[in-house]
Amino acid sequence: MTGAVVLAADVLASSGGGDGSGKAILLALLLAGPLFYGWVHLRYRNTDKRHHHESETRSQMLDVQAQDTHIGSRTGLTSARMKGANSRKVRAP
Amino acid sequence: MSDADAPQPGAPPDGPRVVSTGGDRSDGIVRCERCGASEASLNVATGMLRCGFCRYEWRTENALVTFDLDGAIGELSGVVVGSGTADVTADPSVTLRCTACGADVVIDTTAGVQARCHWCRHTLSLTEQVPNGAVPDMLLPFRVPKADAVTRVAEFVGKRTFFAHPRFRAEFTPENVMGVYLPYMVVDVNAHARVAGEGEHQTRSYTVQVRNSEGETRSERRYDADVYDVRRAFDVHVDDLTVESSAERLDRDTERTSNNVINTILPFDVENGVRYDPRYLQGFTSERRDVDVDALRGAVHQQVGDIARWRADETIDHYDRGVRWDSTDVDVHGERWVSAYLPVWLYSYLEEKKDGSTLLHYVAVNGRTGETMGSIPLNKGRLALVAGVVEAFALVAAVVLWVLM
Ligand SMILES: [Zn+2]
Ligand SMILES: [Zn+2]
Repeated sequence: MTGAVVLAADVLASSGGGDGSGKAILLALLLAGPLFYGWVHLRYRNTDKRHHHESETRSQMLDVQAQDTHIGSRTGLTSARMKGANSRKVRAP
Repeated sequence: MSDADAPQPGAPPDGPRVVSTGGDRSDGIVRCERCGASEASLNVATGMLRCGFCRYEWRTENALVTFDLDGAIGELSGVVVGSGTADVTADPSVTLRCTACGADVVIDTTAGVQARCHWCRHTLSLTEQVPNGAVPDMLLPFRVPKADAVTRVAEFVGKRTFFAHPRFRAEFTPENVMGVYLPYMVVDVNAHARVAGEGEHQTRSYTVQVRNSEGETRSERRYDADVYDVRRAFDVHVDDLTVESSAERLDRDTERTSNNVINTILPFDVENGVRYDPRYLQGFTSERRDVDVDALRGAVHQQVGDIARWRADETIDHYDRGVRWDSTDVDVHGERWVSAYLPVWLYSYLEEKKDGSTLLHYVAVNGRTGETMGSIPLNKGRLALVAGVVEAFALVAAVVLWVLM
């Protein structure tokens, strides 16, 4: 059930750009039942909650070495965000 | 602490350096410093131990300072462990000789670390750290009083009653919340981290006219970006990373348990932990650790990698379109492990489902910070019904919107 909601949220997010918000609202209305179910489910069961060790643990970063190399450019991209960006994902490689 | 710092006899030369946190109280009875009585317990209001007879109160030593387990993380090398992290043994029972009357009393350390001498009624405690992993290096006393925990549990549940299972609603008694010391490992890590990937920096954003198959045109946004190979290398000092150390609590299957809500109430102010003293357990229950350092090391190193990547985010502001990390490498130079009992108020409820399976729900309150999280059994029938009504109204709205569009 919550999987369906996550899917719906993804669909909404990807359809948000481009051709206006009308279709996004329509899609949200079509999925309102499952979205409501999932929202209540998470609010009561909190199955998505965990300790955010990555941000809630004290840590120090020292002696930072940065190496940035320009390797090219991309044009005509349709999304405002980089495809596959994962720097805020906890289980990235 | 020069004796304590000596390597454990018989340990391999490249094995961990064991800091003894056991102390010298080998008779199993810990006595009041003023009247000599063997019973004392935590006064939650002051955080001090109070003698059961003369009411004298005293504070016990800070664990990490006493055992010099709080030294600079950057100077850590190799593995340093508190003696309370010793591997848990298969036979958890320990025999203590009562020094008051001489009787032999067996303490089953799976049930707790205290027993009463059945002859003379002295309280015997497992203070001598028998190397079976039952006694932790340190303990963080409860600071949130029970009344406060009851209020927090009642408030949490009070906001979630409409869709709660009817039996849960009928049986809910927040006063049944229990104070439990749960076993954790607290780890400091000195590591070097390297992350590498690709980043995009936006150079232009503009509007283009797009024609669709029916010949209509509309405007769409387009972006140009510079692409960079991005690498960061740095030292990372992780302080008091805390992980559960019992197999039961590490089980995060949300179909069976709600241990994830207990995990959510981390972190604790473990720097204020005191040297383990069984008298703090009076009036509370405790769970025994059954997972060893070696079994937890992989997960801890992975969490260090997560922390390193999170910190690396501070250095990539230039990449306003984002960064995709392709690799994270962590070299751990030094790590320091301490086993701890941390205080949790737990309200538990076992849901028995129609198919015979069970689901254990908890509402957990951090015994230091009061942070509260919980899982409430659902009345799925009612939820499905209301979701159906919501869907019906939304469909009507969708049709109206469709016509207008
Ligand atoms: Zn006394
Ligand atoms: Zn006795």
